[in-house]
Amino acid sequence: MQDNASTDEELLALFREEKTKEKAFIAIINRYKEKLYWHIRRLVVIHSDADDVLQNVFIKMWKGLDHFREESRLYTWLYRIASNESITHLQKVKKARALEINDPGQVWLQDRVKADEYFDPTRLEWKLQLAIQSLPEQQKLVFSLRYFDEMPYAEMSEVLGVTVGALKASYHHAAKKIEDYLLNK
Amino acid sequence: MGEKIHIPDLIRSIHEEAPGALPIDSYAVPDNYLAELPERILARVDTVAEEEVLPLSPASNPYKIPAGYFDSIGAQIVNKTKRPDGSVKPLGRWKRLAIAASFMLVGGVGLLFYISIFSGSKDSLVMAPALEKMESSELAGFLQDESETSLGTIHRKKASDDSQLFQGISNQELESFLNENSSDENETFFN
Repeated sequence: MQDNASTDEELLALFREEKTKEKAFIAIINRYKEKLYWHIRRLVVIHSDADDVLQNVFIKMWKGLDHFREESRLYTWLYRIASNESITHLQKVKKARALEINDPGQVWLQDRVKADEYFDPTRLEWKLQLAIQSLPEQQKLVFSLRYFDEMPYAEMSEVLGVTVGALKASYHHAAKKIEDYLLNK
Repeated sequence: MGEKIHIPDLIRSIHEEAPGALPIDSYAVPDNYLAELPERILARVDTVAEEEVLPLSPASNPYKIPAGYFDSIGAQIVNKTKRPDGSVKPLGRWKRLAIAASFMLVGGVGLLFYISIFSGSKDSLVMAPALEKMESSELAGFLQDESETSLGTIHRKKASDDSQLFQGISNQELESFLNENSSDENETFFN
């Protein structure tokens, strides 16, 4: 089964057949693993955490795909799971570290970025990651999906369940905050 | 929180209350400016956001991943789906049979052990009342007979062993052998 040759709809149909289920599953993983990994990684920062979350996303997909209603597209459904799993994971980490629920500065997330073995505070790429981690959760998600994944607003609306107008406003605020951060810090 | 203030209405009310205080037509506003403002702002947000001058391309990514990570992740996930709850992999048929056999063996040995102990104690239970009814002299006699019988068995066994040992050898030959091998005359066995 060629991953590139099949559409998502065809893969879903193959997934529902017992005989081709596993092959279709592998094809779906191969199609989305990198995109989802980087989406998750930018949210949870640490590779081992991103790996755990990514695996959970695909396992949830495996369990839930039979009941997946094709009202939304497979890839927006996967992004939705990935976003939710990442946020849930961060909440667990935060709870485990007994951090305050309201941490508007998201300092602990910036500390995770700084703890990366390749972190270099003089490089702009790292400053951008620090700036992203300073954003509130929703703005961070919106910025990441739009800026890095270049996802259209209509699809982001499917992923996050927010209106297009609200997403645009959210992205605007996020971009301004990031710009300020990069100019002033 | 109070009601939202609508600026044109506010200006109009001020003008009505104090005519001439504020020239209502001082500033010209294009027709439908305020009505169309939200849509225009949203459109601009979109444009501004797209034009946002961020110094990096979206592709610039400082994070690193272990070599070959994406090559192996698919197989890892597929393996996990075969153990949906992340529990230990179910045992194979032969392993299950081996474990069942081990339990049966241990159970069987335990049962045999229990039976042997139980049967021993049963004998003791049967013997105890009979012994209580016996006279001391009878018991002493029994024990003496038993002891003699045991010793007699040993002696008889030894004699029987000796007779077998020298079977086929005449007394004369034996006497001659012992006399030749004795170092002292006093050690003569057969006179």
